[in-house]
Amino acid sequence: MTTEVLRTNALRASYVTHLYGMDREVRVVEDVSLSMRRNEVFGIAGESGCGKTTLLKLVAGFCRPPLFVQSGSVEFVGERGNVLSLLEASPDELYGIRWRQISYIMQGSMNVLNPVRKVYKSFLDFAYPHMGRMTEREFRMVVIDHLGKLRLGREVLNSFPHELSGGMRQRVTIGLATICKPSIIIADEPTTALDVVIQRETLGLMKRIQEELSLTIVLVTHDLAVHANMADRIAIMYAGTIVEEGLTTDIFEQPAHPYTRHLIGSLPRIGDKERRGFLKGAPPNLAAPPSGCRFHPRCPIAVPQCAVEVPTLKPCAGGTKAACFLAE
Amino acid sequence: MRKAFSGLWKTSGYFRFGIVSISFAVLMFVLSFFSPYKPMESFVVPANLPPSLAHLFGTTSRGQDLFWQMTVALRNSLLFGAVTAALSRVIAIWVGMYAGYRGGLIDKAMMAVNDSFIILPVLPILLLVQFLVREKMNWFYMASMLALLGWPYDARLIRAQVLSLKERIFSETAVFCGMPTGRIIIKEHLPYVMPIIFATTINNFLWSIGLEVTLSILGLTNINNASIGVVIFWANQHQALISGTWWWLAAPVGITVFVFAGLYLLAVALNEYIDPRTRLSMKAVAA
Repeated sequence: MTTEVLRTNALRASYVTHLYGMDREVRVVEDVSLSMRRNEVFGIAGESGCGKTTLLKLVAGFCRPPLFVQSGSVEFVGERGNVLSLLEASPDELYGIRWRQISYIMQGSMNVLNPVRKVYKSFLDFAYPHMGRMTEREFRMVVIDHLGKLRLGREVLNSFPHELSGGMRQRVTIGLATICKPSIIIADEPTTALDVVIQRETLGLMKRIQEELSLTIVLVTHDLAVHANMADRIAIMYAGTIVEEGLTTDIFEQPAHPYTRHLIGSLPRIGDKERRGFLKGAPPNLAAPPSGCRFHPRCPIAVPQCAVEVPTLKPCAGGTKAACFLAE
Repeated sequence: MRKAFSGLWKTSGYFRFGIVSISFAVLMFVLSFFSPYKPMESFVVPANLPPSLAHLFGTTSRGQDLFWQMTVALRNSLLFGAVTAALSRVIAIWVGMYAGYRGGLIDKAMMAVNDSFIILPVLPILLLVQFLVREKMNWFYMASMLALLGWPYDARLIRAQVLSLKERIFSETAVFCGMPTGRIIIKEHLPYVMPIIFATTINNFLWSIGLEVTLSILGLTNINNASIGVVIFWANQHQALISGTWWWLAAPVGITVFVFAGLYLLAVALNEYIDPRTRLSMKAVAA
């Protein structure tokens, strides 16, 4: 299946603050057009502060001040082909699809559960209103059954979050996000702050659920190893723009954009003792982004044209699409 | 509930002391309804008798039985404190949680009012008001007035907590889920703030009784209505210390200290118990 389930069209958004008469605009998502398909894991990778989390919030239709959308749209395509524009939808329309169609595991997912509420209460607060007609008793049975699939016993429901281990809490969070059987899960760094063993377990679980329910996972992390294991397609983000997009295998085998090449080149490999190269300079200040291609000040192969014109995504030989004048 | 009680009783000395002193206060409260004399009526018993079995706390120079007078005085003072604490909690919780959660202009406006109340000098204002409307002032008006002056510190305290709570992931997730604001505040944030509310309630309770005593000693309340402060006022009027009727002062002061200390320790013990982290370690000990 390759039908679209969620897409962004030329999305442009920024954080706007007014403080003591000073206006500040941080242009954090710039001209992003993505398309996520049913039954795939779509990865978004990029360094810290490049706008990954902001993009996810927009994709989830969760845009609150000081974040403002300048132009573009985010569209959710329902099972019957009905299109809902998330950034213009009414609160009722959003209420109707949230959790039931789109669930969102926020960054710092270990803290999704309220520390002074028992786990079951969080399920009641967050998920129960979205379950349609169902008595509380039925809901409790569904939750117990669902958590059982995640290898969590029913005693978890009567525990406080701090009584659970990190891995258990992570599984509860995933359970919370999947209990309503949504068609999209948006996961922001779901495995950061977990050790590799728990990380592997968590990722395996997400993959299993994804295949079982044939849902879409939009996965954000800066950890390329996670992307290599999980994602079917990847978008590489740099300073608020998408610089390259393509199938995971293509991106890893033949990256076309110089930033992607450096990103992948910086990954350590077992047995390879050679020093890894790194990019000079620092990520740009998004309040005053560089002209032209936002990557040009740090790009080792930049030409004068890069500082003037903004490159658009174009198909390259390796099968990916890259936003670079020099990519072929 | 019973298990919790017996557990606390066994392990916490604070709790034991608190329960004993609260039981004492409750006993006095109940006994006050069976008082053989009207509390402020004078020369119903022989004057100036020291404590004895017939008159547990002694008698006053005005011929009143101190024990029975104190039952009514304690009841009135406790009621006064409770009404003040309850009324001021309503304002403090509402202002603190609503301003903290809404933020922005509403928060700024509400905090401007809040801070104005904080800088008001409470005692001079109370003295002035009492001078002006002394005859018309009954204990309920005074409790309302203290409530009006006693909320701002606590509202700020609660607001500070909510400011931090609303930025946490679980609050954002709740908003994303479409949970109504009122429910988020009550279900997600209130349990977190509860220990603070508990502590400030007891604090406010003690503060208001203290102020009532202050005003009564100065003779600025209705001195024909028994309360702890009023008993002390009359003792001073009759030079209790100089004339050697020390029990006239000992009874109100001793009972006040005993009941207040008990209330405070009970609050500490319960606060520790309410905290889920403590309960967890208690579970671990039990297992």
